[in-house]
Amino acid sequence: MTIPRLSLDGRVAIVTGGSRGIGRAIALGFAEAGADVVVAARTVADLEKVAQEIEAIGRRALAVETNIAVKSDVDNMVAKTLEKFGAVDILVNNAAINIMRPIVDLREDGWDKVMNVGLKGYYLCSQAVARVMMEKKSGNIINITSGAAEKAAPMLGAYSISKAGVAMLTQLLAIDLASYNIRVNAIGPGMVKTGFSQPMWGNPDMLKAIESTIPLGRLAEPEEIMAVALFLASDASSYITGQTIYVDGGTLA
Amino acid sequence: MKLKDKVALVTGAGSGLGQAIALAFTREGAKLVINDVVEERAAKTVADIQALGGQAMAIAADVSDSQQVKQMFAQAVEKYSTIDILVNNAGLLQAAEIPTIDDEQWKRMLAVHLDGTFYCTREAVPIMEAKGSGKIINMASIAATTGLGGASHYSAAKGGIMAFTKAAAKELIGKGIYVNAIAPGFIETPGLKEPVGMEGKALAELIQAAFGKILLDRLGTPEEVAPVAVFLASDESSFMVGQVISPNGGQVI
Repeated sequence: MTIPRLSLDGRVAIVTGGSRGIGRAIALGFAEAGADVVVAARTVADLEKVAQEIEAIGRRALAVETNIAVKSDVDNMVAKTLEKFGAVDILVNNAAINIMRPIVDLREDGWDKVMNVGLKGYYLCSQAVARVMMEKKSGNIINITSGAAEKAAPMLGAYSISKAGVAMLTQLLAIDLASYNIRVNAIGPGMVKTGFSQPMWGNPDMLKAIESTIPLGRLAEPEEIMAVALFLASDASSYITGQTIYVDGGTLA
Repeated sequence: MKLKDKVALVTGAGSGLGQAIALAFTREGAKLVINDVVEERAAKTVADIQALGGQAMAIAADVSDSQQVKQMFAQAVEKYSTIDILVNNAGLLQAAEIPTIDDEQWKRMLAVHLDGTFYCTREAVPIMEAKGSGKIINMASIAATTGLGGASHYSAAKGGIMAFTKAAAKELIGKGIYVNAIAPGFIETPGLKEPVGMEGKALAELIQAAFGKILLDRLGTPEEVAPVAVFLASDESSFMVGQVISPNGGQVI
């Protein structure tokens, strides 16, 4: 009996929003596990830094300036990946935009921004990468959703709705791609200690208030999300598809 | 080695999922307490572990009997002085329609699964609380969320385990004790093959006809559930509280 290890040796992963926070942690964690990693985001300077960190680990890296809301950018991201690495084995849809405003106050352009990156972008990336994976009859897609996909977060209305959409996208992709040996799953983090969420917990009183709603009593480190992503990307999760794993310190329990 | 020197007690480890989990834990460096209601089966698993160079002890006990459970934990602590991980896995699958389930069968199903999980947890808590840490993993099932017609007593028991998992998780995380669950779909084990009298492709087809399409078009193997248990037993799942991971091949999404 062989138990599969958490190894990504010889695989190529694309991580969107890979320049910071959870995306960066996943990119580095995947590199440690043996993958070559493409990091895609809009901020080139940060991207180059992460690419260097990946190379310092001893893996190959590629930084591609990408706005996932724009189809030509997404197509370019995939093309550059194939050009350098010849394959795409794993896609982590992680890039997101957050506008902290209740729905009744949210401007139309704010809604569009959040949806275009957070939902449409995930569809664009999934479609582009899936087509490559379907040819190879092998692949793995991981969508980062959020606890907010299940439990409404009133200050994050549009973000909540986009993540609920990603949850359903995960199910649909899992169904469509199963016969091509492509597994599709999602991770729903709770509150993670990154720059993305800092506006919500930067203030000590706000941090205390948030911690009191989390049974574990603290925020997650990005590495604690990365660990779940690594599990889903590896053969250790070979009978898992179409699932969302919530990693939230007990908030949704 | 993710579980180096940890002491793990696995119930129902004489065969199937429990045995696979025990062996996987052994490979990760853990010392095992192997429980089964059938003494010979527990002894065989211990022998297999020792052949791998691991350490284990066998304790025959019926987890539905709180006195036997008390004694089991006392014996385990006497030998290993602590318990770090508890896997509440003992159980049995039975196909029976409601009018044919007699009082004894109904009670037995709930007793082994639900009482057993409770009794073992109750014994484990003071031990884990004393060291401020512990990992409890409960074996639920897809039956917990999507009732299996023809196995309503099994479904009720697994549903109870799921609710108990969430309540215990919230209650115990403050003591450093993590409680999560695994909800497997249909896994090819003796526990499934024997009552049905089929295996392989024929069994997979029967299961899908009765309970719904499995996206991966096959049953799972115990080696596809064991890594989930390793993940939940290790530090990799340090931000998961009161949650469930479901290796079900995309049968329930």
